[in-house]
Amino acid sequence: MTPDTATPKNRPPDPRPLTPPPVTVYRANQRHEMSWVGVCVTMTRNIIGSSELIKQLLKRDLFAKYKKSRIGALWVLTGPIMQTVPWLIAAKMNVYNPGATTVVLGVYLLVGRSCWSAFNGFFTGASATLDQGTALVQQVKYPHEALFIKQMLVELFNFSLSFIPTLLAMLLYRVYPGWGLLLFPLTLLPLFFLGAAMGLFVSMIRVVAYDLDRFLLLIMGLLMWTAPILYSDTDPPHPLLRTINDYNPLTYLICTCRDVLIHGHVYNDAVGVYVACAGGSLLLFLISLRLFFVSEHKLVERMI
Amino acid sequence: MTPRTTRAAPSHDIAPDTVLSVRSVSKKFCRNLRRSMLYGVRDLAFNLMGSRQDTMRLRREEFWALDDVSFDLRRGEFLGIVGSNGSGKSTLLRIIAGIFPPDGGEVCLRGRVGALIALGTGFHPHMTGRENIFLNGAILGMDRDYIRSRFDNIVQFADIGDFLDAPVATYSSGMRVRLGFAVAVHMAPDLMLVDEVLSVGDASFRERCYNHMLGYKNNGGTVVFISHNTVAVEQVCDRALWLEGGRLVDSGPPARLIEAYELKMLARSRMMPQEGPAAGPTTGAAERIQIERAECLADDGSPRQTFDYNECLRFRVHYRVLQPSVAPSFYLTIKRSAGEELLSSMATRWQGIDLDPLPSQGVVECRLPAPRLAPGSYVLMVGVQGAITDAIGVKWYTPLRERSTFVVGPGNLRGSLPNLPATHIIRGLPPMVQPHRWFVDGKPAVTVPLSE
Repeated sequence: MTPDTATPKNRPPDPRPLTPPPVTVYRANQRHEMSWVGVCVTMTRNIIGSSELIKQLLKRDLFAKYKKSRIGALWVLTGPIMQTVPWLIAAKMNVYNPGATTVVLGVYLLVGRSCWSAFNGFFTGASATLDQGTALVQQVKYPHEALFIKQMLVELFNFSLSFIPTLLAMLLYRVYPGWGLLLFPLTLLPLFFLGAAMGLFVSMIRVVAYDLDRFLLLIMGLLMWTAPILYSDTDPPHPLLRTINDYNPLTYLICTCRDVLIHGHVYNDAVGVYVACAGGSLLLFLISLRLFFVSEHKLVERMI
Repeated sequence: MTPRTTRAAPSHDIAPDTVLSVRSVSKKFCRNLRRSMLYGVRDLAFNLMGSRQDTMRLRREEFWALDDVSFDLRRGEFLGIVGSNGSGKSTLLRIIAGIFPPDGGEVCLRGRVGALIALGTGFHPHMTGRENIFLNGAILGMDRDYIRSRFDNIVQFADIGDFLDAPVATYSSGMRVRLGFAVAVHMAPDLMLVDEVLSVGDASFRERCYNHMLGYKNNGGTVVFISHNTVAVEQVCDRALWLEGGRLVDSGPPARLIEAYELKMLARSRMMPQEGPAAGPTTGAAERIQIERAECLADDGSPRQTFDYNECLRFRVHYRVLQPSVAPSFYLTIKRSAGEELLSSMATRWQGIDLDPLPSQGVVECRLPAPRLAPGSYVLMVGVQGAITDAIGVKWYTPLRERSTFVVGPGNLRGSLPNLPATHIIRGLPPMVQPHRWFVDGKPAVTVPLSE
């Protein structure tokens, strides 16, 4: 007997197989009965079994939107470049003074903003997991984990592209990443865990609590100012900001991401705090995954 | 909260030749949107804390959309599900497909399920038909190699011709459904769920779909088929279920069950208040001739509501004259119980029958010796016309209203069906004036040649 799982691999069986096909059972509270390990195994199996679906959805989301455009997928590169240039100009012309920074202001702002964009992208993408296929999830049975993975891959793709101009700007200002560039993807992982966890919570809340969802999105807009991304980390414009920075896990996650790339070390050399924050993010991610797995099929019936 | 009795713990045993086993399945929904959202938040909080809820309890404003439904389906069976709107048919299908979880009971199914619920749902309008075949196939669980191996068959079945490389946004709704159906049926499921999707698309495509399903069945495929087209259910299904208010009312051979279902539906429609003005023009004046009742009779004169195809039909109208009426003409018309189109009309005037002066009360009867009405349920409408003048057109002494209902079964067509495409029966016959004869107070009406 296989409990409520998707078919392991996409290939449909022969209409008259020699061995009897497996039996699938659906019953109430079925997913509650699964252990944490069982949830992880089932979700992993579902994701692997949905590789073709993820590929097709990714293709649709990344390229179908440019079908009506003359320059087509060139927009994929044009967008990030056009977003980078204004920041460089603003920094060059001293339009914006965030206080003393450890590197050239333009690089400091761009790299910090890129790290925030990664976190925000993971959050936004995950929060749209169930929204993305409202019609689809109510009509067709398929593993919804595939939607989550697809969303994350879209965000990763967008971030990778937007990071190219940032790297070019670093080279332009003669700020060379060094070995920190190799560690950089690793420092993105905790940001992924935290952003995706928060996004998955919002994705579920969005279905049943419209007001709370709107409120949480407003909070996200303010969250960027609670970490030293657009102002100096050594000399914040207000003492209160320093206190907030010190107690905000996002400070350590985002600033470590930035500092590893620029300086090659963890933010404030607070390795212990960083590891604790990263561990907390992973835990939160696992909790959100389980909650999503247990709740999503009950939420689907409320998606009207 | 409304407590429910606890049912025996279900077992997961399923017989080797059983494809689907639905055991005491129940499903609840909430009528109130805001309350439904509130329950959603509460359930989410419970889930977060890891506690399990008693899904068999009804909370305020919740109702059972499905209530203790059980049945088994063996390999190669074709099961039809009928029921009025809101009876729980689509909910049941979604639970079997695994889209909604049951709140009580369990569903055990063997093998792969293909759900033809909303065809082409995942289509992207800006992607071409070719691209959407791969996208939709992936959504339905097929891998690229498999889709590629069936690609030509899918395109041939969808019959979209030169539109294959055009964006789906340029397709007609029928073309989209054809493409969706073509992809869905090529996934080779062990159990196919079909929910009223064949009502879209032209007659030729419907015929191909039915033929495909019959072919699938003949090859050992198992189908659950939901349709309001009771004739189709009767023709293609081995067994039928009747759901009403979320409960299983009856199950058994389609012919018997459909007849009982149709009669129940007709009885219900007769109990409903007539909406809107009566059909046919009215002068605003009171009725001059009152139609006391109209009956459907068999050839031997016994009252009946179900007839076989081409069996003699007799419509008897009991009337009472309230005001003297000049040159009255009884007007009968037959229409489908679902739909507005008139299939056949009969009028005493057309046969030159002079009813003037009309006795103060009596019986007028119209006999159709060989009515060629396609199997289905019908409504008999009766009215009385007055003289026709150029100035005011038709004057109605009694407006045309629904007076009785009856069902036509396949009769002797049933035996010939295996050799006929199903849509020959499913598709309705065109409207026509049926050959008929009139009787007044039991005697053949005197026909007077119409004057020039």
